[in-house]
Amino acid sequence: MSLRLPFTKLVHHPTKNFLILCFGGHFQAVDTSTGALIATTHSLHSIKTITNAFTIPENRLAEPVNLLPSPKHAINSEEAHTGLIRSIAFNAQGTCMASTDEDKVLKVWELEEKQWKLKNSRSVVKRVVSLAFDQTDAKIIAADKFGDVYRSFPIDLLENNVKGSSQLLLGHVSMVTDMALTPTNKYIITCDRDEHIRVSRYPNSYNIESFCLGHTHFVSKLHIIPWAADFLISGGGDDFVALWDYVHGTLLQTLDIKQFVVIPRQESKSMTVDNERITLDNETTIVDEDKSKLEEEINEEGIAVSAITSSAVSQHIALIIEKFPGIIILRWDQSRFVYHNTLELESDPLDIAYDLFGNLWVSITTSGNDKEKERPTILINLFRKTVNDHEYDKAANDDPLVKEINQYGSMLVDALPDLYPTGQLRKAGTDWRIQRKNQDEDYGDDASNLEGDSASSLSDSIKSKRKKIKTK
Amino acid sequence: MSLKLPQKRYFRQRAHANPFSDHHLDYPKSPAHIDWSLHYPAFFKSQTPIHAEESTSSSVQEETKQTISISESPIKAQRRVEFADLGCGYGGLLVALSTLYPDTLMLGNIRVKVEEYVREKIRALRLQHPGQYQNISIMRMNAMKFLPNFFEKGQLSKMFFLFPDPHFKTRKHKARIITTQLLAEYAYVLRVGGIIYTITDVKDLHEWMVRHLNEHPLFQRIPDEETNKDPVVFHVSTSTEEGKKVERNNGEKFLACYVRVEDPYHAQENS
Repeated sequence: MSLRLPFTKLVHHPTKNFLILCFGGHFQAVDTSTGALIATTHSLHSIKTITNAFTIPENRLAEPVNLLPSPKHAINSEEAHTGLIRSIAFNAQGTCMASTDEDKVLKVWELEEKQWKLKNSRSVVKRVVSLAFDQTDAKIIAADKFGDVYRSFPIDLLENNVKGSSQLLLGHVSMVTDMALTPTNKYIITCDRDEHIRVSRYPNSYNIESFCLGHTHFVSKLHIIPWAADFLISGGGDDFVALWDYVHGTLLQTLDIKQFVVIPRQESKSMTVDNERITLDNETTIVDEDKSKLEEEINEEGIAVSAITSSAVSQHIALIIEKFPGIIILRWDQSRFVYHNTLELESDPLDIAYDLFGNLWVSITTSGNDKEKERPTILINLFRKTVNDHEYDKAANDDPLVKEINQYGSMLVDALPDLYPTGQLRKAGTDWRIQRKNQDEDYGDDASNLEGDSASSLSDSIKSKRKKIKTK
Repeated sequence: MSLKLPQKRYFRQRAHANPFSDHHLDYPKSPAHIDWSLHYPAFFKSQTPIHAEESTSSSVQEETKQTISISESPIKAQRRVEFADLGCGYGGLLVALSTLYPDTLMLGNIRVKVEEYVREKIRALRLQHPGQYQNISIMRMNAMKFLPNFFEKGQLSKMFFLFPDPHFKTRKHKARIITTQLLAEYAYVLRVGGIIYTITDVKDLHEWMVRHLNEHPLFQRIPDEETNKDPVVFHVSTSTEEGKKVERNNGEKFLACYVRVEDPYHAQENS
């Protein structure tokens, strides 16, 4: 069965109305003011002459070719990444974009008015989890999966390649999960799987300014608040998101977001037509079962914040939680954030991005259900900011802004990749506070494990390691 | 309650632990979440116990059984630890320095089971010599991962790395206790003017430590003439189990001490 590959990453251009949407090793770009597809590294998915190995559903073949959009910047698909794109960053002027993938390849793209093209491509030693541009030096900073952060990769490739020319900025004895460079480039902030947020000076990053300590589970996302650049929001495996004065490492606020992870249940509608009611009731039951399963999972394992973003227009902060079909909106009020509302979705969000107008773009999972085949799958939801206040209106699926991308975006694949990597950062399957009950038995195991501990891979650690719990 | 010093043979353990695994060591959320009064009761006499039930009901013996004194809520400490012996082994250095600096709080850390031995030893010493050895304690921690959870910025004045795991294989060099990455953390917990003491009998490791410390802008080597005047250096070299073993085998010991200096970097700050 062929499935539409959902967009796993959304990144908005810093100054222009471009939204980059990543799927697998490819990306497409949408003009967020018109909804037009303006760039793609992959043939649009419903083109009849599609040159990939995937079968196209019969009904798609009937589509008239002349109605297909023709993106202004058609990038040769041979130049696209082969592995899943993990990280994307723009330089400050927005003239360059860097991307890295699972296959340890880093590419720099030139985004010029008349042409978008691949500037260069190179391999990196380790898998990159986060990228940033140094504003002054035209260099790229990359945080890798093994906890080290390097600055080196100049935008223009050096003659004698780059190996050896990269400079170690800092390193964690842990897996670094996210990185942010402050707008003035004075600090570089990194977070890891071991609950730490580290603030290092920049470029003298051997000098640690502070640690922001208070998380009790992995930290997965950092977000510097654009309109209050001394403040940082962080989220991860904890029930809360935290607000920091990062220069001093002071925790200013924690906001419990788990309380908002509730799934509304629809009342079974009773219909007048008998046979219709039956189908409806059945559907509701299935959906409700899914919901209770999700709630159970969240209660047992905790939540995992998978994206945090914000809009300077509305001073809203939007965040998503893995597998929760909603977006939690916080608003900024007297240097603190307060819960604003939750935007409901039909399926799980994978990433979110605000455009320059304050509209919120959401990529959602495509469903593997058979019934989905009947209607075109929706990849992108759009929540428009209302004109006079800071509320949201969900755009219809055939709204001009999302129509093209939903109709022609992404591509067809046989199987979906793992769309939920964030929750896997959690150290043990269950919350260690719950484990307290089984502590006595565990204790003996731990002691023997400690003795014979040899190098173990991360996945092993996740599976077999349990934290020892303090005795009360 | 015995007054006898504990015997090492009951606490023998594999010498080192893997620093990268998740392990099972509990650690505080931040340095403020440690109840230091459990470690140094004589120095925290007037402090109102935060955990009433713990402090009142538990006898000395029970108290010492507490592996780690993590507090749920932050505590304002009256005194702070100043010397840290990272990988303190059987605690020989702590015991030696305890009487040399009776007013300085010192903490040894170790990832493995010998912690129990050191704790027992300190307890016995305190009972044998009333009023003494109140300033030393031990904690089980993975300093390579969680140092900033235990110590605040600029809190320490001395850090000791005595006979650390040499990790001979090139592939394992990143597990060494002195690396460019970790030196940034040591510089963070060490105040300007504070000193790092390193000693080893493995020449290759010594050269590795010297190279990394030399390259780090926040550390400066202390010339040998000067280190020889430092009263601590004698104990660094002789008071630990490892140090004595090397001496018995007529092995060579390589010492290198570094002082934490101000950041030489000055941004071309116009603002």
